[in-house]
Amino acid sequence: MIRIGAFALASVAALTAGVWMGSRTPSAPRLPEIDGYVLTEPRDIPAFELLAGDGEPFRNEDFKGAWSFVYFGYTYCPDACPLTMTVFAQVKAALADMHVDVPVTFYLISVDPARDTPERMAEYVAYFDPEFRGLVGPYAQLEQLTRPAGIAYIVPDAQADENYLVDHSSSITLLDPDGRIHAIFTAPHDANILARDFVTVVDGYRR
Amino acid sequence: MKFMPITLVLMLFTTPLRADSVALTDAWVRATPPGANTAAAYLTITSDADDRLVGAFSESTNEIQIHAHVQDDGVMRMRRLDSLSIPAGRAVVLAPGGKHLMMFGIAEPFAPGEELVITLLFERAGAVEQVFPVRDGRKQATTPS
Repeated sequence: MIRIGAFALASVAALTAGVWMGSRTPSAPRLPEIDGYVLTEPRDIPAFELLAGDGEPFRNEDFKGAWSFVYFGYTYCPDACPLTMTVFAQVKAALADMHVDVPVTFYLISVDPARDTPERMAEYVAYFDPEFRGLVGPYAQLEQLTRPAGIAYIVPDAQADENYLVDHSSSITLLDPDGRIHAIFTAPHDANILARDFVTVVDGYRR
Repeated sequence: MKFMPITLVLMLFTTPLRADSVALTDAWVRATPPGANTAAAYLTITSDADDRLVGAFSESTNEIQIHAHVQDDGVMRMRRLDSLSIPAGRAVVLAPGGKHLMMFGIAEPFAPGEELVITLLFERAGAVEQVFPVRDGRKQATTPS
């Protein structure tokens, strides 16, 4: 069995294309230009419950009050995920350098709940920054987030080979302080560009 | 130094022509987060003659696979390669966010300052041992496109 998260790949392309086209229609309000997409209308996340590193439940309201950079990955991923966590650490440093005063939290959400545990996630993200947060939960809960964010992930049959790989979207999802999906940053990710784009998005949000 | 003659004799068998030699540079392994089960190794391979990397193994890990990243409609797909073509005179770069050697089942986390020995197996050049220093990868700036 192959588990395909959120959408088949073709529909993810259609979704992101839809967002893009939506942001360019003449009647739509002018949106900030970033390396990615600002949603014309921030999108609510259906009720979900994941587990944080301390084993405590993490729900929709826990995203509120701060901007959230969210990357969907997994701890067995040796290359792309460490790279993106490194970029997150650099974005955090860049925002501090720029004296950006809005609260920001960085999350890694596991697309591999069969192997990732809350403890393992916490240990993994802390290696990159002690304030980063790792979340993990059952596929049904995970999809409450991946579906509206247009994130695809593909887990092969875990029984076939313990060394399986999980294909996953390389986009970074930005949630606003209302806990809604606000923007999507597309790869490649460069810390300075992300920090700059983030400030642009925040400026647009405040207006 | 006393093993030199033996090495030379072996080289006569494994590398009948001087032109078959490969040069390995910029070899390093990404230091792993605590509890990691996997790791990635990187290097640049240059060969005088057309060659092919067909495998890699090390005492430090169960299994090493050659991997490439493919961007497919925004989905990062890691793909295992059976072999990697090394065209004559052209540097083949294995670097973060691109092609890499993926190590499965590492026993202990790799810490900066340590060194790993990985044997690379080439179709023409034969087995080549390479020392890979472990480096902290948390300085890398950009993810793959």
